Amino acid sequence: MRNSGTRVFLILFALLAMEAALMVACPPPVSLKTPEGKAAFAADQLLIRVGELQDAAIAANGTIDPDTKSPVLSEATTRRIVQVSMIIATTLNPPKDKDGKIMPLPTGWQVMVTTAWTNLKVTLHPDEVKKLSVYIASIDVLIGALAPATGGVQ
Amino acid sequence: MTELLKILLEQLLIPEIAVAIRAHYNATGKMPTDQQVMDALALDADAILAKGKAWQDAHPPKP
Repeated sequence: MRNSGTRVFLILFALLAMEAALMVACPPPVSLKTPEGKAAFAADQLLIRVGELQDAAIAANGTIDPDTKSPVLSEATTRRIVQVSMIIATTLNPPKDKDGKIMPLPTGWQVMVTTAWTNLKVTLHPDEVKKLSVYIASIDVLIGALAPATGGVQ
Repeated sequence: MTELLKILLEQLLIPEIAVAIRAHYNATGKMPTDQQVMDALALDADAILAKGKAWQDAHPPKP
């Protein structure tokens, strides 16, 4: 038997996961004219999903499973997910010029993000992957779609 | 007949509506510009970094 708090958490978790799955691979708006703008859109779609994964991991770590009396997601796994989320966010944080204007992403960000993501996935236990499977699948789809969305891996 | 309607909807009407909606939002400036998307990217990246740092600070690695 699960208590009501855990049940509410699991329902919210499932709803967020469904939303994440539905929003995957949204095409860039027609108002974006430059390759840099389209690349930023693709990067932002990916970053939003990475943020959702980080939020889900932190929430799962803060929830105690009454059956096992331990967090739904271990602290060690949450730490790895937070670290990689921050690496990806740092990679996708666009540079600013001397006046503070946001500049386009430098070339090569796709490879750096893909490497960080692949390295995270190989360290996750299959049970942990199962708990976060929808988030992971949505990020996999977006990483797989990076090349066509941005006109080729730079 | 139903199939024909479905094809008409999918091939003609829905794309036309989508184009009209996009044109409206473009005209009213509600579709994002390249610069706005880059600004949003920076904000989203900062938010992830802030949340991650807050969690790390609250959960220092155990020796």
